[in-house]
Amino acid sequence: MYSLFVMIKCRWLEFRREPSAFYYVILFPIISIVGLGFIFNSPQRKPFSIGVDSSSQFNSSLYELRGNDQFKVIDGSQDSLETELKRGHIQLILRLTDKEAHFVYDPQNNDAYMARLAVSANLEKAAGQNPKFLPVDTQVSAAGLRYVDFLIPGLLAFSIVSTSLFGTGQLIVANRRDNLLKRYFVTPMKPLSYMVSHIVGRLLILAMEISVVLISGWLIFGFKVQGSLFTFIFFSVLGAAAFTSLALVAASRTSNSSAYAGIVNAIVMPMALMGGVWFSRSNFPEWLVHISDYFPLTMLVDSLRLIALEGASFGDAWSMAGKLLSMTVIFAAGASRLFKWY
Amino acid sequence: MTYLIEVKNLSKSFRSFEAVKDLSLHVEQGECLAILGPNGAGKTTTFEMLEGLLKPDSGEILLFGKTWDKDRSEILSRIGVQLQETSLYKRFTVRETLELFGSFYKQRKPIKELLELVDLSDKMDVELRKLSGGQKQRVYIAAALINDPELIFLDEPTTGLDPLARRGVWNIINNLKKEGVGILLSTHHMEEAEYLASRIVILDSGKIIAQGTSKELIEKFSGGEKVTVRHGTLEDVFLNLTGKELANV
Ligand SMILES: Nc1ncnc2c1ncn2[C@@H]1O[C@H](COP(=O)(O)OP(=O)(O)OP(=O)(O)O)[C@@H](O)[C@H]1O
Ligand SMILES: [Mg+2]
Repeated sequence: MYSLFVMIKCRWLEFRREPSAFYYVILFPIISIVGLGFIFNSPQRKPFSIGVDSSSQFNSSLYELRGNDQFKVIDGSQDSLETELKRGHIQLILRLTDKEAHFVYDPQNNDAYMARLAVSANLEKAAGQNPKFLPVDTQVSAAGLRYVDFLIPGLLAFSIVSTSLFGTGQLIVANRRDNLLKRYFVTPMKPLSYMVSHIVGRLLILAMEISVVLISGWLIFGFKVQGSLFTFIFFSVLGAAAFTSLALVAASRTSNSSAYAGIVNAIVMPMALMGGVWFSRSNFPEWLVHISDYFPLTMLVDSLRLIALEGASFGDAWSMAGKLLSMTVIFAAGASRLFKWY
Repeated sequence: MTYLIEVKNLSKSFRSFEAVKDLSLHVEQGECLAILGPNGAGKTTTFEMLEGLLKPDSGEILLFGKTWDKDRSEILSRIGVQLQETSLYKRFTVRETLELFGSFYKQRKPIKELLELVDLSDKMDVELRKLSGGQKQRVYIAAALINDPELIFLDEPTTGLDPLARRGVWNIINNLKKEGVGILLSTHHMEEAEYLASRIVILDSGKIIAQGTSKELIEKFSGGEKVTVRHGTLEDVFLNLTGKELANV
């Protein structure tokens, strides 16, 4: 028991003194939240960039368009505007004749289509024709519906996975390479305590990860977990245990750090992209969604989102809990069978 | 009296390569047995079989009269091991390292006492990465002594150390002998074996090609050379024996 306590303390020290650990656990999540959060969550819609063909008929509506800060208007010849369009600097080219407004844009591009609608609405209004319905827009930016709200649980899940596989796993591989595991093996140390010390030590690190993600999300974007915080933390703990066991399996035999890093990258990055850490899986083709349903990371991301965004209770997510727990047991058992000390 | 180490007819092959052939030796209480041999002679392979890390193909190993198969945990608690190529976790301090290793044992030496023994008392709270090679080597030896073992394995403990640091390790080993600890030592340095060991085993290509006290070895094998010169005579023995072997291959 004393030994387990000392070993857990050592796991914590190993984490604290590893400079890259600081980056993975603290800096990376904060940078991601701030960076991605602001990019996709700019407080005001950016103005539409419109190119106005200088061969356009003079029309007072154009004054109206220029004076509206919803639009950023660039004048130019048709040729030069087409170049700007191709470069993505403007979304739309407008040329007015007596009776007609000609729009040039890419209908596949949602922003361009919206610009098209906004411009024509504006022109109509300026032309003085009374619209039958006065449009009323409601701006939606309530907590729980923004991209950051979607992002934060995903990032926490990603952080749990990368700290387990890169942190814990990499440390074990390096210890094996240095013959340190072999050295432990010629003491009466209990192999099981060694495994347990990694899993428990991992939970201490998890406490930091959760705090970093939740506190910075809350301070910067007012992020709040809609469901119970306890359930949210409970699932994070399950996730950390599951992925630490996975790391023990992944690091069970090799002593080659760069081979290990390569393999883990090859597993983690596709799993993170397809598992919907940064983007909703609904953007993917259906077959891919079906496949990614079975990724352990997907289970963790989905259950954290369910609790954080939809306020799901433990009862709603218990089947995920069961899956994560069985993952932990299966991987831990596998690791203790496969594990090579030297 | 049972020997601390008793080995009979030990052999080990890696695939078709015979690393250790029919090796027998024993170590008594308070005795230092040195294994001398060129690179690849099979010293580490022998050590690892004795330490329970490698399974021999044939032969018998008794530590304290017990076998690895039956009494693994008892043996582990009574021996101390320093492996040839280990680096302990370099961001732990000396104290943290010894605390960790100490925690594996029921019975352990006070860390302060241990650090006095290896002359590192002033480095207690320094991280290992900030220690010199010789200081680190002494931490490794301290880690092997944390459980107050009756038998220790030192595989090339002085390789890479400067003469002064080597003397430091020699002092530690001599003190251990006085306390009755049995020591199995491997080394490339003749004078080290001569100075520390009561008996010497010379190993080449996995076979014992000579053994005895340094005096016996010098009398027997340095014939023809300048026997009158005390200095480096064991080295003559060594080169005579292993050089011949090489020439025969
Ligand atoms: N795991 C292994 N697989 C294959 N061959 C091995 C293995 N371990 C050792 N050998 C071979 O066995 C021989 C003896 O190696 P060993 O490490 O015991 O030598 P040594 O006497 O300790 O040498 P050194 O002085 O360089 O430490 C060498 O030829 C080595 O290549
Ligand atoms: Mg060796």
